[in-house]
Amino acid sequence: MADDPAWWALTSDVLTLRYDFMRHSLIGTMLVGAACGLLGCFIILRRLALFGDALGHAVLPGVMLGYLWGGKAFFAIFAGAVVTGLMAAALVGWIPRASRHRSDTAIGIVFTGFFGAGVALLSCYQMGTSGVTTFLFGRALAIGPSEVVHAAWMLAGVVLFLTLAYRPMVWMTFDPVGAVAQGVPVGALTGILMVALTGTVVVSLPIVGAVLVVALLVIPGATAYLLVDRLAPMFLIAAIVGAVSSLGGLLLSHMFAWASGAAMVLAAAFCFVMALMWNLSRRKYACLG
Amino acid sequence: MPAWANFLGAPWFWNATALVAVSAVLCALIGVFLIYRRMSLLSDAISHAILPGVVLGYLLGGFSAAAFVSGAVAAGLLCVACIGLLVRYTRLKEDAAMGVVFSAMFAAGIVMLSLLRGVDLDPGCVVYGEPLAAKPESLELSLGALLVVLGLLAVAYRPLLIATFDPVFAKLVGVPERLIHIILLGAVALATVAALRAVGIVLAVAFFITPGATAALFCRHMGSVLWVAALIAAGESLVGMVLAVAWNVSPSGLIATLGLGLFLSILLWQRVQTGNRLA
Repeated sequence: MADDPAWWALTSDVLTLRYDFMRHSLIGTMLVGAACGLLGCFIILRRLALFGDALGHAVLPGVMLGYLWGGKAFFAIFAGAVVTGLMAAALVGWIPRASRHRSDTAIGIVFTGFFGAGVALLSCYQMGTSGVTTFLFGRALAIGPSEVVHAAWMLAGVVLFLTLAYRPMVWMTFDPVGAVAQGVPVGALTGILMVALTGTVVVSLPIVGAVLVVALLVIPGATAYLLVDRLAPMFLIAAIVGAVSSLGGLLLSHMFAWASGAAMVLAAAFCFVMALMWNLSRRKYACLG
Repeated sequence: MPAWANFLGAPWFWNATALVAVSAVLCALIGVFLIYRRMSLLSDAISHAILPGVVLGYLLGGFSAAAFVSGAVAAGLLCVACIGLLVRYTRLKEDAAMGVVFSAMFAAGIVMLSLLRGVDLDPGCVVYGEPLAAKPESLELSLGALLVVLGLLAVAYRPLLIATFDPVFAKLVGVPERLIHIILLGAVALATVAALRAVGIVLAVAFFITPGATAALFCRHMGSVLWVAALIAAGESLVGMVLAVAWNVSPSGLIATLGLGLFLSILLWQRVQTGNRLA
């Protein structure tokens, strides 16, 4: 591979961003990675990782219905995703109250049922196998300028939300009871967080796909959580890890013809393993010293 | 017979249905214990994490059941071990550790698959299964796995029951709790790989958890939960396959949706019966 001149030519094309599609996919994936990293901090701190996984699967039927009814309009897809995502969340909340099942069983039943409906819809309206695999595994190299704009709006929305609601969100995350007692609008903030999560999942779907979106949500946040003890640096590091691993994954995918979404997840996992080793070695020396 | 139902006379339909039904019963029997042992989502993690093991098994051992199964079981146990180590040695909680480990392993499997073009394991099959395209060997593998699980249940039913419902008593009477846990983890990996053709990886949880959870809504006895879960699994497979072929949609997707529908209908009906609609 490395002694093939054509491979080096391709790699230099990639690294110098010679082509439009490369610029779009790089910028789009980095924006999405940063947005996922920021929201991922809340997912880690509020123990919502498996809920994030469930959400990534549960939006699929809504995405499909929005896609079928509204054409490719982003708003229709987003609305469909929000509707089925919130329905799934409501069911996951209701089942443990209505039966003897615990919430993990409820998550398992609900998200697979919704995802199954999405898969059935996908196979029903044969949008070609490429259409199917786009939603399931993502195709970062196929995203266009409109996806980049959506990703930019989504990141801007997340940053705006975090800036405006930083203190109440922090309060609610670390001391839910105290926050309610002091009149923080916990319900409204949780609702906004859910809608922001759903929106981020929707813009991530064409890039990493429904199955691996949980990785972009969880791994950057988990990496930052191992590195720092304060919240503001955690947000910063998670956003950087999200963006950098998206970039790295895309380059890996270009150079070695790996599946792009999975390559981004592996790049993020590499960052996580580095952080883990640093964390463990620091603890070892702390014990010794 | 009406024209749309012509496929009911065709052997390929019944071969595929038998494969789906056997796989569904296999998963449902294991799933009952997963629910009561609070391992519902661990089974999700394991079923995703077997993918790199299956691909490695294929690379090393060729297209043989033994290679797939040993790769899958090794990868499943590795995943659980990694989750346990992360929870023990870092401050990550269990949910975050699971999310990191299984998604990274699944991504590694997808990358390995994308490198092996033209292999008889395509990503679509991995996600949602393709029972209609399965070979006879798939049915043999899932029948074999079902026999193994039935044998385990016959031999170790009481220790399994004790370890599931009363771990303290299990320790007292010398039931090997840890061994049972590891065997159950291995069984999840075995069932996922045996059901791979019929069910796919992502929908495996629907086949593990949903029938048992539905049965547990109205059964009071562990034996009846197992029987009813197996019956529900087989019935859903049959109905799902007929509808899926008639409508030309993905069978496992439809069966997962049917499973959720049946669960919610029974739960709702119970709430209405007891006059407790909202809670």
